[in-house]
Amino acid sequence: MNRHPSDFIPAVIVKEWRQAARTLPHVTVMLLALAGSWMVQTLNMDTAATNTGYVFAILGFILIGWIPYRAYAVVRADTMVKSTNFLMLTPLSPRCIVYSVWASCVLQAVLFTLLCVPLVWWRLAHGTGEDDWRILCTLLGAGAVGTAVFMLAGRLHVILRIAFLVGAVFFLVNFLIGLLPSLLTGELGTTVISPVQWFAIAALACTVVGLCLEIGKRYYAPASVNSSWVPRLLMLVPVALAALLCLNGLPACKLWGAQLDLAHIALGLSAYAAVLEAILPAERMPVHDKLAVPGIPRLLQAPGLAGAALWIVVIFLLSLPVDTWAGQLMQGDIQWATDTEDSAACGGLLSTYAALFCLTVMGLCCKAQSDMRPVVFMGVRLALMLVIGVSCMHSLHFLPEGAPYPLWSSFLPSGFDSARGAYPAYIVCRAVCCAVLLAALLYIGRGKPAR
Amino acid sequence: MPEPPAILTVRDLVRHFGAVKAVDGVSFCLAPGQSAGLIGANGAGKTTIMRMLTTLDTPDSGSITYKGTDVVAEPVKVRRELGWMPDSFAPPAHTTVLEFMDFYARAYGLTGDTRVGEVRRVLEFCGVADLAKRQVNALSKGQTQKILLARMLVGNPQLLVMDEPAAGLDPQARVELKRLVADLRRQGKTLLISSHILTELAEMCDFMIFMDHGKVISQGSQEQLAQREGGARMQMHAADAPALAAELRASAAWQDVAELPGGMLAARFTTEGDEALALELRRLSAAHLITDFHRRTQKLEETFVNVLKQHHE
Repeated sequence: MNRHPSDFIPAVIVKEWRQAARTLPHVTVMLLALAGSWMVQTLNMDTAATNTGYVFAILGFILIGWIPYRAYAVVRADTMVKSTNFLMLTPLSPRCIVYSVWASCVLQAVLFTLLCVPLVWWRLAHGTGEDDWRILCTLLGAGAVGTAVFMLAGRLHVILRIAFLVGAVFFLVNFLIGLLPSLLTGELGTTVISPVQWFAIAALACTVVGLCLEIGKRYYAPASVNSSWVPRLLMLVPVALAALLCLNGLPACKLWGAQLDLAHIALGLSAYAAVLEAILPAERMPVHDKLAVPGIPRLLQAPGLAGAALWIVVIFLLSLPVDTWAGQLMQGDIQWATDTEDSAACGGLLSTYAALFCLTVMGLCCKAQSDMRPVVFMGVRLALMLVIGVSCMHSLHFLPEGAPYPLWSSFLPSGFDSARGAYPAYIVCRAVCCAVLLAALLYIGRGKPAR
Repeated sequence: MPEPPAILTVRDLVRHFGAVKAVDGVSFCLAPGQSAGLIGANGAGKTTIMRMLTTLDTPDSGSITYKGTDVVAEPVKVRRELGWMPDSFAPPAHTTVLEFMDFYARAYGLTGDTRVGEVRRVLEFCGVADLAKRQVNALSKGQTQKILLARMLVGNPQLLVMDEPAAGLDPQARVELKRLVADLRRQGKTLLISSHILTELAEMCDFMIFMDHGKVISQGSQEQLAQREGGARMQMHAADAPALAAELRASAAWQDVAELPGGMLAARFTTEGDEALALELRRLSAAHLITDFHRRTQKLEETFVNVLKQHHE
């Protein structure tokens, strides 16, 4: 078979390189950076260490800043010109498309690195550049991860994209600010990292890259793939785990000197569900007869973040008695936030609330035009999670000694309070609520498409 | 509906967008080599149906079968045989026409000289070989449509789905597009074309599917659709056209009487049978000064409007 050499390169990489070579700002920046690094290396050869630091600073800007930004721009451009639809019609798999775009950017980074640091290669050849090697690996690895993250940002809806980008830029700026002095002084290269730590860092980087690319590839898949039963089962995992925890009757346990109770686990599971819902394109996931998980109400199988908002409001309001919460706020003395024994747990709880709140606000903004039915059944579903899987023991811990339990707290599922012992009434109320909510879910969800 | 075996079968297709039912129980079949027109107002569901046919969207219920393969269950299997031309397209920057086509040829697995030859073939077929080195985003609307057509033909798909291909084209570009579609029909391709320009659709397609608010309200060839109305459409020229028009309107046998410029009249004779028509024309000729009468082929627009009116009634 007559094949050209370029036939052995994935089509998307060929396309991306062609476009990159024609994009004037991209070529200009890369050439200027290359020229700058060469100038720095050829001037003042007797201060090689400092020169290398400046070279690595230029390299850091390109690998961690410019190339990830270019990846973001490429993905955004694909979205704007609707070429995603054309790509979806080709035999190219979504994974091939996304990984090829990422690989194209990484290859540009590698090529730039090879051309940018001849001084480094000279030092390595003479056995004096071992520290430089560590710095190069760090920059290339960070650039690869940053590229994947920015590619995912380019695919998200506008609110999520803005939030994502703000977070990513914030992280990158801090990373660069923290890294830059080390680069300039060469201290980064002298940091001793054990092989196990290297492996852990590499594994973490690969995980982040894989996660970003795997999530991003869903936007190149036809709706029938996005509507597969796998993500829908994943949505049910928090409910199932919460139910198992409830049935298992786990008591609170000590972890890192703080109590890890069911509230943290349940809130973490809620955060997991909320993240999945934020990332999956819910509007393009109809629950077709052939794709719905059999035996499970289809109402449970459609994502929607509005229910998570209801969840957060309810859990927040019920987690503390109103007078205690209001009194502490007015006094400006939130005792449990300063309690060092529980600071780790409280910090985790606050972080979870903040993350859920942000995701919920963004989800509400994204779904402004969608059908309100997902709000209703998501609220019911998450209320079920609240009842069967949530413990608000942390709130009970802060009630004044001897204070009676509020009536509404009887509906909370925790049957065990480390300070006060078991509270049997919880179990009865929880069972009743579970039965009512399950019946409501089954009634609403019988035989109707969840749209 | 055409007789089986059909190359494409759509059964009871339903698609919701929130509370809106964009497609409501649509069913039709296409035979191999048939050219079908999908006609409907904006929001009728044409583009939604096309996107589901080309695996870009998934129906809430119903089935789409292409050559016996379920399109929803096995989209990858059918994708090689489908070509899609969207109604809108924002061209990529920094890409020549040749590179644009070359990428999709590579994406379809074509290699070496085969790929080069295929790209040249489709560009020449569409008459844009001379634009190979031009930037895609620097082309006119008509040129862009031809490039999209060429892109659709890469890989030689058998079922071509074209969404408003003539939208925004000048008359010359439309003529060229009609020529290309005729060439594709001669090659035995199966086409599904949606358009608002019914006159051109009538020339390009031999099977029509009328849609309204997500439903198929009628389908068939132009003759079948016109005959379903019943009766014969006549056009007459009379010196006393107003008087003739008044008599026709008073008669139960004549419907849709319309006075046209220049003493012309158009009307539909509802009684079946050529003999009844001949007797009626002889009677009218005796009473009025009719200088010309002939049977008129109903235009597609008239058929569509009448079908729509009947559907709403």
